[in-house]
Amino acid sequence: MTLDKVATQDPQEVVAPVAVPGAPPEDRKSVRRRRKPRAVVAASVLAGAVLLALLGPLLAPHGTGEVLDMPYAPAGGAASLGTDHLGADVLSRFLAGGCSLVLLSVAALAVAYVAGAAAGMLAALRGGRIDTTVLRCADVLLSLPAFLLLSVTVVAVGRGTAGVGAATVVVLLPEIVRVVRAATLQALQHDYVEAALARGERTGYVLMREVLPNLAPVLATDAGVRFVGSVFIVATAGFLGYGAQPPAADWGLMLLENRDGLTLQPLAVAVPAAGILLLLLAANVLLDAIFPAARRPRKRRGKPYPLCADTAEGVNDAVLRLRDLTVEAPAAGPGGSRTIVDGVGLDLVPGRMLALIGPSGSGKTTVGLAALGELRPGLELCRGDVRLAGRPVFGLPQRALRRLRSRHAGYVPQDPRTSLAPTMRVADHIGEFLRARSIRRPERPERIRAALRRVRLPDDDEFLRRLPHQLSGGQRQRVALAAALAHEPDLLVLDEPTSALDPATAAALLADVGDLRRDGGPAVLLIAHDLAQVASIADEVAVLDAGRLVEHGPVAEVLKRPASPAARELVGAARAVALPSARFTAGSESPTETPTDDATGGALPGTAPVLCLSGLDAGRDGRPVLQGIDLSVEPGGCLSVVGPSGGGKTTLLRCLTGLHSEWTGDLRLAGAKVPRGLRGRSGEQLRLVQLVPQDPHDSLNPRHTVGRIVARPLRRHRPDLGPDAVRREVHRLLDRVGLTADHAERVPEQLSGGQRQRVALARALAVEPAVLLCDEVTSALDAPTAATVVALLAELRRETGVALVVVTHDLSVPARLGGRLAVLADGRIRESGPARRLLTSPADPVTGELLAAVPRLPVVAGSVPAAGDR
Amino acid sequence: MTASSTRRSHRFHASLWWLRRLLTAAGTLVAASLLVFVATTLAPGDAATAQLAGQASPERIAELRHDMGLDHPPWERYGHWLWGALHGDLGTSYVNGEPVSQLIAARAGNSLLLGAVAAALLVPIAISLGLWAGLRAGRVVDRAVSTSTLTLVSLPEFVTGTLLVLLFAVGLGWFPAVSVPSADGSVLSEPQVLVLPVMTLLSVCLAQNVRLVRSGVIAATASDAAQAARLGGVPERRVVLRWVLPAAVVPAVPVLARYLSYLLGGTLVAETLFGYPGLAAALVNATAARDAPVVLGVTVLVAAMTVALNVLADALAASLNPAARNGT
Repeated sequence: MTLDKVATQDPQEVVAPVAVPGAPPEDRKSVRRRRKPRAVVAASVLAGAVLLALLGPLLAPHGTGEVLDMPYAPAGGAASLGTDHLGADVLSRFLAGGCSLVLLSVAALAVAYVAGAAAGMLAALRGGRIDTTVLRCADVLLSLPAFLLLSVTVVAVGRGTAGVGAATVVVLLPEIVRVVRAATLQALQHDYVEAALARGERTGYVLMREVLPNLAPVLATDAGVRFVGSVFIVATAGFLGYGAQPPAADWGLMLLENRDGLTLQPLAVAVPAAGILLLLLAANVLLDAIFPAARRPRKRRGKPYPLCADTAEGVNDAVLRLRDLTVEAPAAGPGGSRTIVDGVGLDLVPGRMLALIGPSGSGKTTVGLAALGELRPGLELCRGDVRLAGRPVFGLPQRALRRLRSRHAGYVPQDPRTSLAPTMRVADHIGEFLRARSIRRPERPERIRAALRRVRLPDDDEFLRRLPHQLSGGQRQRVALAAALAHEPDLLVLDEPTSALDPATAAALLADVGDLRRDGGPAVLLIAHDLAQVASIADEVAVLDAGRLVEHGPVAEVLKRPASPAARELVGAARAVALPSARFTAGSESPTETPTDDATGGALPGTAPVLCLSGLDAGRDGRPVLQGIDLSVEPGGCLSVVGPSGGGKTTLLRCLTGLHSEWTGDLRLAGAKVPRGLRGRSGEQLRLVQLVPQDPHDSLNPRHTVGRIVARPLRRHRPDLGPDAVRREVHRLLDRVGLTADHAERVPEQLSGGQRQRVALARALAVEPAVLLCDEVTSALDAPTAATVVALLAELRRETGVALVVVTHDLSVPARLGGRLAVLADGRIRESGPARRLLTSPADPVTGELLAAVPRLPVVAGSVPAAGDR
Repeated sequence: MTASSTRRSHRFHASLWWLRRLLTAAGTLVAASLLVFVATTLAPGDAATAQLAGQASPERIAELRHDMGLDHPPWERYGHWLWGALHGDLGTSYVNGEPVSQLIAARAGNSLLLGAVAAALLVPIAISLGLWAGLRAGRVVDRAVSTSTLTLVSLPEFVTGTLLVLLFAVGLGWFPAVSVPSADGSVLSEPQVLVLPVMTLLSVCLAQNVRLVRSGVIAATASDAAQAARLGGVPERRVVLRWVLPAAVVPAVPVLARYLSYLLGGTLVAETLFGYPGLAAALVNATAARDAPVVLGVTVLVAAMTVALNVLADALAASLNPAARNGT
C-alpha cells in the first residue's frame, strides 16, 4: 500500500546517512560529485512538475467544465489530447487538476509537521507521563491502516478539500511524532545538551539553541519522505472520491471518472497518471540521490594485478613475505591518485609476533588485509609481491585464494560489536570456520571446545549455545579469535583487536595472544596504534607513517633507539603512559608537577569538605546501580574515582550533577543539603558544581563558536556582565586553559581533541565553580595530549583552589594527580585512601587488576632487557 | 546466580513482557474504537436524518431518534455499542437496515482471501528478489531491479492498477478488468479475477520490501563479520547463507509482518478499483453514504486484525533477535 510504505519507513534509515562526519572530507566531496548529476536532474524535474501543477490552471486552453466534443473523443480535433467522459478537454482538466494536489499536500504536510514536531520534541524532552501519553496516542492512530483512518476522518469532517486535508494531517501525524521524538532523544544524549541541562538552562533554550539546529538535517530528510506520502494520500483520496467533487478537476478524480472509457480514450487516464508519476518519481529519485538507502559499492577496477616474476631470494621459511607493497587509491578526477601504502617490505616467520604500529590513516589496516590478498573497495595494487605460505596471493583465482586462506590464515577484526554475526551461536560460528577447512562434522564439537579452551573461554554446552549479544566485548573478541585459530593457521592477522575494549580486558586479551604464540603457534601480525600496549608482548615492531615503513626492528631496539620522528613520538607517548606505574613500583619521588600532599588530598588541613556525599543508593529502571557510597572532597582537594567499566562511575557523576535523580542519600554542598534532581536545585547550587563531559568530540555543540560556548554560562550565571566584559572574560578563560583569543572565533570542528577538552574546561570554569566533575577526560585523547590535560587539571586546582572529582578507568591519571583515590566496582566502593598508598600497596583485588592493566614498558631507560620480557 | 535461576528469571521477565504487550494491544483497540466512534458521532446528521433523507418534519425526526436510541448521551451509546460488539452485534446499517455483522461476514472472507494470496506471494518474492539484487549490487541486474522498484514505489496503487488493466485486460485480454464474480458469488470458483487485484496490491508493498531487503543485503555483505569470515577462508556460498542472509532478513521480518497487516486489512484501493466484493469496498460506499455503523464496524474489525498482526510481528522480531527485546 502506498501510505503504510511511508509510515513503516524506519526512521533510522533516514537518520543514519546524515550523520557521517567520520568520513574523510575528500571522500565526501567525491561522493557528492558522483551523485550530483542525478540529484540535479531529479531536482529540476521536480521543480518543473511542481511549477506545471501550480501554473497549470492559467495555461489551460479551455474551461474545466466546458464540453467540447462527444465523450471519449480521441486526440486531435478541438481537444488536443481528446475528451473525457463528459466531453471536456483532457489537456485543460489535466493542467487545472495538479494545483489542488500540490497545494493541499504541502499545506497538510506543513500543519502535520509543526504539530508533530512540537509533540515529538516535548515528549522526548519531558519524558514520563507526557511521553507515555503522546506515544499511546500515536499507537492508537497507527493501529488503523492509513486508508481507514482517511475514511474515518472524511466521515467526521465531510468530503471535499477540508476533509482530505484534515485526513492527511491525521495520517501523517503519528509517524512524524515518532521520528521527531526518536531524533530528539538521540540529540539529547549529546554531552553538550547534558552540559546545558546541568548548568540549569531552560527547556526553551535547550530545544531552540542546542537541539533544533542539529536536528534540522534529519527533519529535512524526513520531511522529504513525508512529502511523497502526503501526495500519495491526497491523490488516492481524490481517486476514492473523497476530495474535490465533480466538475472540479483533480488528477486522482480523473482516473476514477474516466476508467470506463479506458478502451476508447486511454489518454484521459494515462495523462493524469503520468502527472502523478512524474511528481512522485522525481521526489523519490531526489531523496534517493541525496540520502541513499544503501551506498552503492564501487566496482573493482578490471585492471589485472601486476604479477611479479618469481624472484625467490633464496629459500625463505617466512609464512608471510611482503616485498615493495604499494597500494593506491585512484582518484576519479584528474587530481591524481593517493598512495596509501608505499613500498612496504616485511617477513614474518612462525612463532613470531610483529606489531604494526602507526597513527590512524597510516595504512596499517591496508597492509594487514593485503597480507591476506584483500584490498578494500576503491584501492588498487600498484606493484609489489605478497606471499602467504610461499604463494603469491594477488592474481590468484578466487577459489584458490579462498583455499589458501582457509588453510593458512586467520583474521580478527577490530570492533567486537560487529565482528560476529548477531544470529549465529558461538558453536555455529566456530563450526563454520572448521567446515571451511574441511574438518568433518563428527570431529567438529571437540575441535570447537578445544578452540574455546585455547582462548580461555568456558567450553560448556551453555556457553556454546550463546548468541553474541549474551557475551561481553572481551568474550566476543575471544570467540572471534577462537574461530580464527580453530583451524590452526600459520598466520594470524589481528586488526586492533582491543581498541574498543576497556584497558583491563584489553590487557588480559593481549597477554593471552602473547601466550598463544609461545606455544609454537602461528605467526602473528598485530595491528595497533599504541606502542605501550603491545611493547611487552610483541617480538618486533614495525612503524608505518603515511604509508611508508619508517622503522622496523626488535621491540627493545626501537624503544631504546627510535630513529624516525614518528617512532620517537610513539616511544615518547608510550613512556608518558607507562611512566607513573614504573615510578610507583620503583618507589621513587614524584616529579614536581605532582602534588605530594596525599593524606589530605591537597586541601588545607582542617577545612570542612565542600562536597560531601553519604549513604548514596542509586538505581536505574528499578535495578540498583550504586549502593552505600560515601565520598567527600575538601576545597582545593582532589578525589579520583577509578574502576572497571560498568561499575557505576558515570551514574555517580550524574547523581552529583542532578542529571540522574533516581537515588537516595545525603548530598551536601558547602554544608547545605542539595535536592536530588536538577529541577529542585537553585541557580547557586548548579553553579557550584560543574561537569566536564567525557567525549570532547561530543561535549561542544558543533554549530556554536568557541566564544559563544564559553560565554553562555557567563550570561546565565553572571548576568551583570556587559558584552565587552563577557568578551574579556572569555579571552581570559581561554588563556587560562592554554588557548588564545583566536580560538574564540572557531567552531569545534576546527579544533583538535585536546583543544576541545580545554574549551570544555574553560566553559566549566567560567562560573567559578567550587567543584569540577571530570568524566573520563582523558579516555578519548592520545597519550601525549592526555598528559597535558592532566597537567592542566593539576595546575588549575593548585591555582584556583577548585576541588576536583575525577572519574577514570586509567590508573595513570590519579598517579599523576595525587590526592585521594576511591575504587568503585559493582556499585560499591571497594577501597579508598591516599592515591599513593593504594597504587603501591593495593588491598583489594580489583585495584590489583586495574594496576595490572597499566602498560609497562619492557625497557627501563638505559638498560637493555630481552625482548618480550614481561 | 546459577544458570538455571538466571534462565527462570529470564522466562519470568519474558512472560511479564508478553502480558504487558497484550494489555497494551487491548487498550489500543478500545481507544481506536472510541476514536472512530467519536469521529462518526461528530459527523453532521445521523441515522434518523439519513433514513428520512431530509424530507420529514423535525417532529418526525425527533420521534425516530427516540426510537433508535439516538437521544441518549454519546457515552451511553458508546457503552451500548461496545457491549453489543463484545457479543458480536455491531448495530444495523443506516442505509439498508441490515445488521452490520452480517454485511461484514459476507465480505470479510473475500478480503481475507485477497490479502492472504498477496501475503503468500509477498514474503518469498521480496526476500529472493532483494537478495538477488543486493548480491549483485552495482551491476546491471541490480540497476534494473532498483530502477523498477523506485518507479513502482512512486506510483500510487490506483495508478498501477489502472495501468495493469490497460495492459492485461484491455490490451492483452488475459484477465477480466473487473473482479466481480458471476452469479454464484464465489471468488474461488473464478481464481482469474484475483490476478489483477493481487498484482495491484503487491506493487508498492513488494517494491518497498525488495528495497529494504536489498539494502540489508548490501550492508551485511560489507560487514566486518562477513569480511572476517571471507578472510578466514569461508566459501562465499556459506558466507551468504550464514552471515548475509540472516543479517539482512531478520530486521526485515517485523517490517514485512506489518505490511501483512495492511494486505489483510486495507485493500481499499484494489477493491474499489476492481469492484471486488470485499470489506474495503463496503467501507468506501459507507463513507460516501455516511453510514456510521458500517464504518465503525469495518474499521474496528480491521484495527483488531492490525493490532493482532503487530503483536505477531513483535513476537517474530523477539524470537529472531532476542537482543532487541532486552533493549526495550
